[in-house]
Amino acid sequence: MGSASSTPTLASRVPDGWWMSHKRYRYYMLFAMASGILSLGSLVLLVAVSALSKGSQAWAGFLAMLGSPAGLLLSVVVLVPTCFFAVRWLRVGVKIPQVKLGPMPAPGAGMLYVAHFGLLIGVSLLVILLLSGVVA
Amino acid sequence: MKVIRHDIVLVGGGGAGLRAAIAAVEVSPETTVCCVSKLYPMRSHTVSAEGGAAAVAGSDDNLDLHAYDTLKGSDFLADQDAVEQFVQEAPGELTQLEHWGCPWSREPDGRVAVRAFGGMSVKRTWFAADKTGFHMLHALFQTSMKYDRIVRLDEFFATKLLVDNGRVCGVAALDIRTGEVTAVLGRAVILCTGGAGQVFPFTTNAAVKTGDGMALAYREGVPLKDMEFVQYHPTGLPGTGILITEASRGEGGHLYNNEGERFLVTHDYGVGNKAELGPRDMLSRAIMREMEAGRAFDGSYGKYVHLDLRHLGEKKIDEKLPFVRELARNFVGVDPVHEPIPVRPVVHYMMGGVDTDITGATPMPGLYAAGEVAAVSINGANRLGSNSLTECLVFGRRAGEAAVRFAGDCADGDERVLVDQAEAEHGRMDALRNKVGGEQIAVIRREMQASMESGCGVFRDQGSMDATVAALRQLKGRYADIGLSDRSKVFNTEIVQAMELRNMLDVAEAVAQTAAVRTESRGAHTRTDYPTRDDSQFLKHSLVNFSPQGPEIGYRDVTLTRWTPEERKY
Amino acid sequence: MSEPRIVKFEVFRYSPEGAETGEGKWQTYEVPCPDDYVVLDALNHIKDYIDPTLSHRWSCRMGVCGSCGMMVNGTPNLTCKSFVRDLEHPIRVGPLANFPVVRDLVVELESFMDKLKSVKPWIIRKVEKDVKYGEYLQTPDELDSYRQFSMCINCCLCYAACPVMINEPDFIGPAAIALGFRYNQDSRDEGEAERYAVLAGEHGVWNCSYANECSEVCPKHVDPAAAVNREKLVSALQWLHILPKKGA
Ligand SMILES: Cc1cc2nc3c(=O)[nH]c(=O)nc-3n(C[C@H](O)[C@H](O)[C@H](O)COP(=O)(O)OP(=O)(O)OC[C@H]3O[C@@H](n4cnc5c(N)ncnc54)[C@H](O)[C@@H]3O)c2cc1C
Ligand code: FES
Repeated sequence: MGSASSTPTLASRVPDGWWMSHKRYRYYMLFAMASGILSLGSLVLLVAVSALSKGSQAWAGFLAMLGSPAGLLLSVVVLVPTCFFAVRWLRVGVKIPQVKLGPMPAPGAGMLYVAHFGLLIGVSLLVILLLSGVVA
Repeated sequence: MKVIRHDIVLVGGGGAGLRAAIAAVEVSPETTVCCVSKLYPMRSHTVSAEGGAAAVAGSDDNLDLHAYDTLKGSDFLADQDAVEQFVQEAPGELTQLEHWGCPWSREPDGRVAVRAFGGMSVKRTWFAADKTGFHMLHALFQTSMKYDRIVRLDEFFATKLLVDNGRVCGVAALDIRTGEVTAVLGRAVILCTGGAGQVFPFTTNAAVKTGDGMALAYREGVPLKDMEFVQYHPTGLPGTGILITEASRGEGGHLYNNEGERFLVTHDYGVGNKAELGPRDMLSRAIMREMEAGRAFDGSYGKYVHLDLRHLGEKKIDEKLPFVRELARNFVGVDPVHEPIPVRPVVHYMMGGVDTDITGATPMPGLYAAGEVAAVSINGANRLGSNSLTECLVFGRRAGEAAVRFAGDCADGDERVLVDQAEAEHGRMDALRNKVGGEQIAVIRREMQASMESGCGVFRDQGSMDATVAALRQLKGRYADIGLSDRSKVFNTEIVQAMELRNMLDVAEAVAQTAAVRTESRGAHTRTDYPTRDDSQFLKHSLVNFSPQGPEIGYRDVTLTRWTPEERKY
Repeated sequence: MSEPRIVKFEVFRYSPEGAETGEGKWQTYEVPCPDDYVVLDALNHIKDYIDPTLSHRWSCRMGVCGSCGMMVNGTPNLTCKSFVRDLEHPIRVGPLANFPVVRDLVVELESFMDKLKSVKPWIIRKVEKDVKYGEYLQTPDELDSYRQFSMCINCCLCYAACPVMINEPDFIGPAAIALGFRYNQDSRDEGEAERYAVLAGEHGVWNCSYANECSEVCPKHVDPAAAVNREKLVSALQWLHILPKKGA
């Protein structure tokens, strides 16, 4: 108490490029950057919606674009960081709901883990099945 | 000179100090307390206490039993009126702490759980896993934050009591951050500065336990009581001295020698069927005897025995003793779930301290003391484990309340006289910071510690104690010639170490001198040349007074109420 | 005991006085280290026998008082728990990141102390029970719901690790939030409504980007990131009036 800045201090200075200076931060930065690339995915989605609205020809063009080598490359480029992002997020994310909310007991970590990844895999499978036309 | 004025000045923000501060502001709606502490309060060494705090809890227990256990543990040197008061107020204090958020471990039905402890005949030790002191200290510290009338001076080092006409009216405190001395004035002063384990080389005590409060009071003419009684804890880690709590034996751990014997059971060390739950002085002696008999293990830090917890199983260890597991793994690379822990006796606690009555008042008007710095005395010649955390609470509160009463009845001291003394301290600090000399702080400290270990260890005799007394006198002479190299004022820890060393030399001398003249064995004071207790001469507290020629020693009868001293056999 | 090994240390030095002011510097020391030396032992050896002008904080040397946190080879750590034998040499010891430096390895903690106090870390109740009626009952499960968050030793390693702190020094930060959350979760407490404004306010939980670094460096496994992000969930539901605030 009372002695705050009673003597001069050296401001804590963070070195330039701190976020690449240590592997702890590099991992986190990779995660943050992955979210940037992820947004590319939503861009594709936007294009899809706009193509849909323009009629079947535009839609066919869009599908062709997706199927082209460049389109495939784009999908891979988006898919890898998306998986990385999802896995890291779901892994740390399990910690969040482990809290007693109102009268409900706090769910356990194991259950949430299974639920998180189960949901991710389940929904992905469903989408794949839908797209491949197995399920009408 | 900066002058700060409050009703009460508190030195020390450990368990005792924080309890005193809260008591003072709660008992009186206007009182302000200034807490001077050389550490941020939550760093105080109360934080390291592991095992628990004692107070009667279960229906199988009663106050008289707690009192009797405590008295027997003390080898009947404790004052019986103080012990009665202590056991009576203990349960309320621990409950109060529960109300302040301390996360005591619980029974399935939600009541507070208790565990067994050494020398206690039933389970009465409340615990928060094995981080009891940590949780108590943080609960107290956090609770203290809610009172704006508790004003903290963190990282201020009290260097001297300011005395006006025989009455204490404040302290001079060095702001470690700026190097300036502040006169902290009040109408009463409470010392809660903790123990002095650092006068020994091998101790569970933190670096900061340097007996400052004892030395401050002693140098102003306040007697120190029962200083010869130094507790060795039987189970410290070799090398670091880190404590492995008695709770590990309370939960069922066993001690083994190198022949695989549970020597407390197979040999007669006076602990009877209490075995590992015998009192600390007896267990420490037993381990030393095992070492002498060649039945201990040899390691790079000398001899040790084994503390085996394996039969408790991983679940119980993790639930009840997680910190023990963490410490053993981190500091000796042993996982107690799979291997026994190496342990040996280690200096742990000062039974002695500033002479106080049961309100915490010392013979000097206005000066109070509580916690490990004080000797009320409820610990006598040997403290029972888990009594001292409770002592911090019971007598911390008592001292806080008594100080408020005292401060309410008297006028402020003469500011000029007090500030003059603080000015003189300021001058002394400047001189010390710039002192040139041939002796090194670290070297004198090391020699003092070595000499204390050789003369005032678990076993003592006249020759070794006399040698220590002589060595200490010589070290004090050499201290006058220390040189400092850090001339800077900002956060100069060298000057702090220099002052701590001076305090330790005074305390060490008091320990060695009182030990050398008590020609009996009692509790932790065990003499090979006088192996028995002598109630006819020594059912008395020693009182040592400072004089420039050296300590002057006197005695006072122990207060007896309902219990007659008997042979201490378990 | 085997012969001590000579280990090189680079220790940060800064003093606001005299010729050494400025930006601070790294000073090299060679320290004889027995095999079981921790970094703190080496610093104490330097202080005692090589250079008494070095300033650093420490006390318990058993990892519980929280005094001795420093940057060890770039990572915040308790020096009393960092074994020299486990580290890459030379060993760089600096003051905790994200705090102003007072001197050498000593950092300014006042703002941290204010943050701690701001979350009202004490039991708040409408009606207090008299001590003579005994304890508040609390089952082991209720205890477990906050126990982990009561283990914080205030060592501030989490502040040094948190990337948000770099740009948002007023963020009340992992330890303080975990402590506020600890009291909110305590079955004896009714202060959630009083803490809401601070925990969910401008400098509160929403500054956190869930880097999880605080939990990575926490020497006591408090997992402050869990507390911060659970508080996000709880306070969001409270903001939406889906969940009541205890004590409101
Ligand atoms: C490892 C260990 C385990 C223990 N386990 C138990 C247990 O299980 N049960 C039990 O009952 N007891 C236990 N004890 C004993 C008990 O913890 C202590 O006796 C008790 O905590 C002392 O508290 P205190 O408030 O008197 O002093 P401390 O907590 O040591 O506080 C001293 C305070 O005084 C301040 N101070 C000191 N000198 C100065 C100065 N010159 N100027 C300003 N401030 C100063 C310090 O900053 C600090 O705030 C244990 C002790 C140790 C070492
Ligand atoms: S010295 Fe106490 S935590 Fe390291």
